[in-house]
Amino acid sequence: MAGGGFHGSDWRTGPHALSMEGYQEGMSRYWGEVNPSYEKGMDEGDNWRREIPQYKDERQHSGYGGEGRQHSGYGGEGRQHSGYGGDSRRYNGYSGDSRQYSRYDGDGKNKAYRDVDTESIDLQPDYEDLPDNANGFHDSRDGPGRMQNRDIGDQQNEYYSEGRIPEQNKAFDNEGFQREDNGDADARPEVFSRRNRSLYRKHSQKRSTGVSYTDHLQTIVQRRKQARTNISELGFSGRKSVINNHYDDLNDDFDDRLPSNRNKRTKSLKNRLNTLKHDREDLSTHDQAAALRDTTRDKILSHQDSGFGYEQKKYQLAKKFSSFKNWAKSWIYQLELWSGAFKVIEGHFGTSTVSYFRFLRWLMFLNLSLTVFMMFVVLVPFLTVGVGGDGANSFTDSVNSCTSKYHYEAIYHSTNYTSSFEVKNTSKVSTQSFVDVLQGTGWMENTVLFYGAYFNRTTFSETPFVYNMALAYLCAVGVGYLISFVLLVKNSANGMKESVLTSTSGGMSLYCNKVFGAWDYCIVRKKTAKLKHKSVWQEIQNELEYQRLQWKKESRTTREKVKLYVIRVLINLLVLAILGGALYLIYFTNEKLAELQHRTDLNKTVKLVLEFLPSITITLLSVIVPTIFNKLVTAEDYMPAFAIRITLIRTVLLRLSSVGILMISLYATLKGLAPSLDVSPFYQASCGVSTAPTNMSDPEGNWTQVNNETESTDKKPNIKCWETYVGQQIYKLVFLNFIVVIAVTFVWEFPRKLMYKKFHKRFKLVNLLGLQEFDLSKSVLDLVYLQTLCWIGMFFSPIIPGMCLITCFIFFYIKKASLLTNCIPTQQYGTSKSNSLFMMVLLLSFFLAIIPISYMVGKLHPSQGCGPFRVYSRDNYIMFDVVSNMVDEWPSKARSTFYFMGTAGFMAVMGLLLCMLMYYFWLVGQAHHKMSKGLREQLKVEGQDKQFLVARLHETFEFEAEVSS
Amino acid sequence: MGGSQSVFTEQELTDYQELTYFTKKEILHVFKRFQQLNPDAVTKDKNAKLGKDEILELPELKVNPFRDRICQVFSSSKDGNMTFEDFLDMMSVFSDNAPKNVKVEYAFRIYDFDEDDMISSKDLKEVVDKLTGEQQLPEEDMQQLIDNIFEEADLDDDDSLSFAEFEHVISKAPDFVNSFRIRL
Repeated sequence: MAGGGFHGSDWRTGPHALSMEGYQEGMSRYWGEVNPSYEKGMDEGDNWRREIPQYKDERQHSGYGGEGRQHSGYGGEGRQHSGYGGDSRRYNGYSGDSRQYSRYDGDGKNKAYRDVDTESIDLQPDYEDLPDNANGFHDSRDGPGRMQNRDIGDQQNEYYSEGRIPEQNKAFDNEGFQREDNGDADARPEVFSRRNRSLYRKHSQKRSTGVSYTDHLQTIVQRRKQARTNISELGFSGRKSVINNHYDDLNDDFDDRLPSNRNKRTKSLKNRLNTLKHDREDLSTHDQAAALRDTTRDKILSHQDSGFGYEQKKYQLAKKFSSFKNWAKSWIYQLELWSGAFKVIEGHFGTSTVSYFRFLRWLMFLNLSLTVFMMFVVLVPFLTVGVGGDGANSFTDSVNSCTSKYHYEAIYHSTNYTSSFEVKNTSKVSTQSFVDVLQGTGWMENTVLFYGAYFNRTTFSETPFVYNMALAYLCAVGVGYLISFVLLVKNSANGMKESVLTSTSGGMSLYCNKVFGAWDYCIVRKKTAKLKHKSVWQEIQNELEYQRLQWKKESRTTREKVKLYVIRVLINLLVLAILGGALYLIYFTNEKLAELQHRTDLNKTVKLVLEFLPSITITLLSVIVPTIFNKLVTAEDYMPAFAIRITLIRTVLLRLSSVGILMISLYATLKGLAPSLDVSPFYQASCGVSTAPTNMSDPEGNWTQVNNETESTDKKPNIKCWETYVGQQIYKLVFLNFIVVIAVTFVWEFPRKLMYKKFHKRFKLVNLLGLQEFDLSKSVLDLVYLQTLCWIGMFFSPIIPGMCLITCFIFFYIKKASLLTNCIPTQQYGTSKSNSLFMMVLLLSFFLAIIPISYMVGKLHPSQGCGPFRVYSRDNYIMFDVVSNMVDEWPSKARSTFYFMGTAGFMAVMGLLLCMLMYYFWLVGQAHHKMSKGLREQLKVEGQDKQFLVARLHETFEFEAEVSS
Repeated sequence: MGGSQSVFTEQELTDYQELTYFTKKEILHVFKRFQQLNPDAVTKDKNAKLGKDEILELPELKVNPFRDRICQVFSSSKDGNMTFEDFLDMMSVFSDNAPKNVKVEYAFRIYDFDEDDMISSKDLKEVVDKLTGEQQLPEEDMQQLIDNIFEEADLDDDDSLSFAEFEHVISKAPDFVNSFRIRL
């Protein structure tokens, strides 16, 4: 407070005359248009101001008569200006800046304040020469003493109490009051001004001792920032009404575009709360009216027509929407699965490990949606649409055998198929049923779990209703893929955006990432924190070491280089060999399985093992081979990040190609099946229809099931329904995968932990083995593998997504328990990289899964003895015919459009269009890239400019100092 | 929940919700955590100001190398003591829903040890020292690291990072957003 007088003098003498001219300009413009009711408001604002004791004090200090109180009303600002009054005397350019800030200040708050503001400033320098149009309102202040002012104030109070003043003015009082209140209550400006002054003093001391240019530069930058902070904090402390709030926001946005205002700090919650409270307390009809008046005046001032009513409506709508969003969010927060578990894991193992669990959860939700979809489109209709009255679960009851040749064929083969495993079923012992569950054979085979059981269901009433199961089945699978694809792309796009952003703008900032992104704020455990410290230290050291190595790389001799490259080539060859060997092993076991399956001279246990042979091989290989890869990569002497990536790529290659080879070997096994018996003579005989004999033999091998008669002489296995067979294979794999993970956890990981705990002090070997580390990439690949199986198996067994769902759910708890009890934290990956990498791998596996499925739908003949596609509509029937049959029933226009879309001409045009679009976006990307490059250059040049200017300034100081001394 | 529900009026909760990145339920949860730090004082007066030592009892802060700075930055009285509002503000900034630019701003303030609105090489040195904990980087390694960072981030060659430069470089440091958060 005591500084008032000082500031007053600063106001008058400081170089602010410059800025005041600016104010005056604004002023006169304003006074030309001001309306009289507003002046009354002004007076009362004044009146309020006098009621506050603080201001009385200040007035006494100010020694500036009438203006004192106006001044004090904006004491905060006044002081603040004086704060850099001293500066601006030196730096003229800077004083220009300050003008700009003041303008900003005025804009930022309610217009009414600005008017008061400008007015009060106007009074100071030109006290004597007040313009004539400063009418009665000014006169009241011009009076020689405070007493008179008070009198007028009293008069106005009377006036007020008589109720003659419109209500709005009352609201305006509040505004005035609060404005001042905030300005002073913070008492911050004083501190700042003091700080500025001390800085200035320091600065002048430094100047005399001669400091470097950069020091000067920093001081300037510092000051500039402080000034900015001061202003932004002050400017917004005023009350905001609902509508003005909106306008403020607009102004905010506008001002954010000024580079000088961009760094405005976010206010603390306390400040924000205060502001909000003021908002609410004053939110009455008065305020609405006041706000209305203000905005109307603004409109006049700015000569603009802003759709006020519309804006308000829009604002209200936005508000409603945001409250709805909050409501929804609070529900979702409740529903969020496992968030507590995430927190625990994060606290113990850091964010990168949690990304595995997030991935797991994401997969679970994906599988959930697939399961639900399959259930509602396939399973529920199939079970509900009854067959006649008895609801017998049999295809033969549902159709008339003599409808067509294909119906007859289907019935013939179906009977064949069902009777074949009824024979098998009757020869069952009770232990067999457990084995059946494991294998998906026996009683499970002809249930809704597998493809084979489905057929078109018809009700035998007057209006026969057929649920087109074939179409529904195909659609369910197709839409399931579509859902997966959309979700996948959406999820991986997030990661892509990040990685593209970092790669186009000069790459990721490696070291900044290492330093500023290093600490995981989620860590809660002391031990983990200690490890984190260590790993950060290690990482930084490695990175620096690597950099030094790079520097030295040129000095590597030719001999060393040759040696390294030879090693690398050899290891890559070895990796290829291992991969090839592993793949052949898978193929071989599958072949053997098909061959041995129907041999009767084998022991039961041996047979069971045989059944699982391919699955066991795949699972074992996926455990063993990655460990070999891990060891091999160390010999190759890559940089650490690259080593991790290349191991991952190799492992992915193994996993996906093993699935691929499984498909191929299945295909090879099934393709060699004997052609089915031509049943057309039976059909003719039983239904009495004569048809031209059709040639059933197919050039590429017939995919219908073998006949009983031919089977006995054939060496090939007895597979009646190849779709179900494939389904069983995948079912087994999923089942085994599940069992292996559980087994590994309980048989290997848990005992290892126990062993380490008990013996690590006594035996060196145990100590060497150490504790389990959580192998992120392996675990993720397990999941990817599971999901690939799910996508492939979905077609053959609609229940597989459900199985995967359950597997994911159980995995979560098992993995979590294992992690928390058995594992020690590791730092393997950058968090950000891993997630997008997982998604890319998953996307790859998705394509791998849909290729065989789409080939099958478009090329292969479905079994005639089972499944929804068993009734052919033509020879050489494929599954996709279901769709084309449906299209054929459409009106001709739609049909021709559909067929046109399949023509080569259409495809070519679309392809061309896509290419052009891609080219366009590539060009845009290039342009942006170029622009960012240019901007960076410009920034550099400007930095140099700044340094140059500071150098000049410094010279000027020196010169001045010399002159004054 | 019932107990803490009565602590705040509906109005207060709405206010808080509007000003933070939390929902009402989350705010109550934050309050619970705040209460755990000093049950007696907070139960008596929900606006109680907890000392820095008490705030640092929060598990996430306890092991955080920048705990002192965090308290300093979020304390409205600038002495490291926090009221519930400060605490809520802090949790809101660290929450998942807080936008990146808010996080970057507070990170800048946290890493700006001498509060001169610039991250100088001295600040950087302090940051790295705190990060590595007991293990210290050798002098020349430190210098090399700092040089590298300035090489990447210091666009105007003044050997310190301004907020704009910091913001820019963080946009290229993808790990930041993932790590700069505290889960409720």
